[in-house]
Amino acid sequence: MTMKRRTVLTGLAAGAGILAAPGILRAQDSGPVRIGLITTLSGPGQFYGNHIQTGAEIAVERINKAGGVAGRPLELVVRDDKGNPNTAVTVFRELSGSGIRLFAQGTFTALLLATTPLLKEANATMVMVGPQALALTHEAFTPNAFRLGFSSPMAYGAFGALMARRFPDIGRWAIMMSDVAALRDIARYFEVGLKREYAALGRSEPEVMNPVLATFGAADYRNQISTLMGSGAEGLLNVLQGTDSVSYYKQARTFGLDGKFKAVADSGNELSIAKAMGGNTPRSIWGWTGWYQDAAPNPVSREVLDAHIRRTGDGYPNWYVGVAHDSIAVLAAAVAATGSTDSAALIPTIEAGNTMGCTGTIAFRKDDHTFVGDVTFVRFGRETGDPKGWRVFETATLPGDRFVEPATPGKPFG
Amino acid sequence: MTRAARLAVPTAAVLLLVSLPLWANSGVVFLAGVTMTSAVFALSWNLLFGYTGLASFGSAGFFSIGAYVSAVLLREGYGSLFLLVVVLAGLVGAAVSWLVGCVALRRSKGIHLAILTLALAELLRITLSHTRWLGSEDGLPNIPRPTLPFGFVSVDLAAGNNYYWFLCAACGVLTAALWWIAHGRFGRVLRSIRQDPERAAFIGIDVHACRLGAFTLSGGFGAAVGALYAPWSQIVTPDLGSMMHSTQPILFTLIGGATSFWGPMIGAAAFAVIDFGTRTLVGMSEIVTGSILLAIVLFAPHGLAGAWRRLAGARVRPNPNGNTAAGGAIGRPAMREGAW
Repeated sequence: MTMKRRTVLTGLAAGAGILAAPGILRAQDSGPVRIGLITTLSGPGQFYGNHIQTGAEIAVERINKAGGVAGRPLELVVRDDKGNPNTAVTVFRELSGSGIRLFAQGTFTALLLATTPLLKEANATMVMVGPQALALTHEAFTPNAFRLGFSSPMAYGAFGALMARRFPDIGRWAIMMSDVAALRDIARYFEVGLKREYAALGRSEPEVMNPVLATFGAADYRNQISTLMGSGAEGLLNVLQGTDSVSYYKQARTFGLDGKFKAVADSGNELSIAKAMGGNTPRSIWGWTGWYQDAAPNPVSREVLDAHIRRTGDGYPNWYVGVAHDSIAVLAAAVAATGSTDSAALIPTIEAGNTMGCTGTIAFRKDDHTFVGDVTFVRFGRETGDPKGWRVFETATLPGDRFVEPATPGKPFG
Repeated sequence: MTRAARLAVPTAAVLLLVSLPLWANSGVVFLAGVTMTSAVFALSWNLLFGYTGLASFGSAGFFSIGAYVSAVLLREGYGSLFLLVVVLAGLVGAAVSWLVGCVALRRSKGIHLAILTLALAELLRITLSHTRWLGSEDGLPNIPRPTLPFGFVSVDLAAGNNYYWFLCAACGVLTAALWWIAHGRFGRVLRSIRQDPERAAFIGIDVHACRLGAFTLSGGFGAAVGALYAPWSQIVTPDLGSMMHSTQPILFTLIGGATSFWGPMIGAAAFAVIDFGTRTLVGMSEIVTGSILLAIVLFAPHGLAGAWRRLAGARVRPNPNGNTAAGGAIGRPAMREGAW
């Protein structure tokens, strides 16, 4: 077969036609105020991404119902980063190239580290949804990004302090942890908060044992549980995440670990553990959370909770729902106040802002744009009388500004 | 197919790539840059698989070595020596590859080699994720794009789309080098080894040395393209050496066709187009992408390059054993010189 020139040219023209499809060529701003939401909607991070998308959609729904932003409707343009920095950069550039200047992105640090250096060049403003890593507001600080998340020293320093106050007689703490570098900060700052508070209470410093390590994604924790049982510790911090935690708590129950410790603290699974385990939930767990409606009720928080119940039937939303809602609310409020999507106008407005969100009045420290709000804890556990098999027993709130690390924008901390 | 028609497609592809920043969204431009590096990475892998008959499942390890070498040196301020950095990264990758090959190729082949290389790449990934000065799991962000001095003139690759065009040129050079190797004497020797190592040894070819040479070259080119990738993405993470990344060149080769030199490159481009085209189908994109790839593998067993050859009339002539696929044991070369 011989290929004719006309065939080649037709093929080239068809290819050019496909590439010229809308959405690939540059587009202009028009109509609604558009916010790009970049999150993980496939792969292992999907669990968080789905909650973030739900929270962001609830925010857009609420804002549009109240008349939109400066008379214009708010539109959410959602993209899946697939947990991959390259994909995150591709979709960020795609959205910024199509004229979007407002972004919410979360929650994996590496993905944020890939996109935040691009914000300035794109004249874009971003609220980072829920990340805890220090690098984002320290050595990798960029003035165009705001962290609406709880830094590790703030969240876990406060957690350690709370445990010290509630259990001042415990002299030895054990830690169960996945062997993942990123989780070491959790244990580190928990220990810092714990020891400082013991000192403030005039108690002798407790012993914090070396973490008992498990492989990330492990299914068998029996050896580790045996080690914990024989450790002589009375307090236990769990730094396993997600499904690892469920497997661990299930196996721990058969060992009787539930009744062995006076205090069990869980670093980041909050009510997901109880929702997964139902009547098999441990007797009592203290958990850190970024948002729990009954801990510090306010009208926005109530509305978001009601909207979540209407959408999903779930009255105990993951904290990412609230924080994602607030991220959108912050951007929308800033645009409403300035009438602009230009980052030069938005950044000082957000710095000085006092938007009311699920998490209360949303305030960022001007120096490094880190969120400084209250830190919330819930105690929950097994409850045979409850149809769910568990319930929340109590909540506690500590002021985040007491625990947040000093600002060192552009330089590493610690 | 006439010579003019045969040249039209690659010429159009090159023009399309080079002109991309002039008319396309910056997301597409970024994706094109990533795809170029992936394509050269896949070509380097296919030097092992398609030409030598060795399957490595840990090739991403070499890519990540190059990317980290480049990232560290650029962050330390060696941007003006970037061309040397790329060469150095390639040499480091080749040296590591040679060391791995010395052990692995003596002791194993086939599935054993695949698993061994996979395990070594995982070891490297885990080591990187626990190395604090390399950023642990978060990797190294904010990698600066360099400025290249050429006598009295210097080119700032951070400005505008300069790095994209540099990437086009650099990937072109690496591709040309791989083409030259694959179509030269060494490439013919490798193909003879792939088809029948015993027969190749009988005629005086040092089979182990040639396999080791191919393994070293593959690792070196993989690392060099990794070094080019680092300032493009401006972040490197341990996941660059992950199993998922190692499977990319395999996938691209299967889609594009292992029997063609250009097959992996075509596969990389096709995958990028499909992946980008399905980006808005949240929750469905993997299903759609998977279905398309499955259809390609089922209905075009020689990949897109093979399908194109059939379409263009240049039929793949079966060898005496009826085997035309790369890695297909003994017989006439499945990969025709000069064919694409």
